Amino acid sequence: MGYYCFNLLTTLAAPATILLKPLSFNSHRLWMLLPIVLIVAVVYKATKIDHLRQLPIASLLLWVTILGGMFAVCLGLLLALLLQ
Amino acid sequence: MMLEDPTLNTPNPRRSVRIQLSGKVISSAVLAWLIPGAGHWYIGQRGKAIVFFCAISLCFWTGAIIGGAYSTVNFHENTAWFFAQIFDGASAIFLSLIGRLPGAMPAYGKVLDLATIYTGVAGLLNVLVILDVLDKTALIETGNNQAGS
Repeated sequence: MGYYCFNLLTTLAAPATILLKPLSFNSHRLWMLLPIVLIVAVVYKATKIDHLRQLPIASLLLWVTILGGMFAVCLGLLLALLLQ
Repeated sequence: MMLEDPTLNTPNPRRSVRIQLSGKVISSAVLAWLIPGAGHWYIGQRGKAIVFFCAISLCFWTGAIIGGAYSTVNFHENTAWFFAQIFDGASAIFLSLIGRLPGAMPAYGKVLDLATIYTGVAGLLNVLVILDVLDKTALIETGNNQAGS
């Protein structure tokens, strides 16, 4: 009985071990911008809309707007740096 | 306790509401803090509740897996971000407890930055959700009071 309980506990606790060690994440970090901006767009638009069927288009538009704005700022800063 | 809405005199009827901190308003806010989306579930907006829960939990646990539990939610090492992360409620408390387990390894540098940003943004998004549920519950309560009188 004790053996089965121990097995059950270790099986249940196994997913938590993924949280004990950080990932090695040294390349392509910039791509992680895309999902976080999408999540921000989805949550923000979900607070604004009246019906959920409006959510996909509204959040996609906001996602593109935020990314476009960030790209424009990045381009502007890069140009300012190059022309300095 | 009554909070006066600063936009009380504006013509928009949606904004012309006094937020009365009743039991239902406080319960929905506390539930929204504990589990993202639970406040909306409580007031009957089940679809939005599922969207908030999935989006905010995905963001928080992605950060947690990237940075590990030890450094990501850590009051002593990451104090400023801790106050953003703690708005994720139960998830943040659970993660900080896992971080105290033996064998938890610290994260450094850009991995820690990425993990902190993901978990911090999730907490700040939950602030938005808490404010939204406060607003919606107050509107429902006001509607109920007007219908009752």
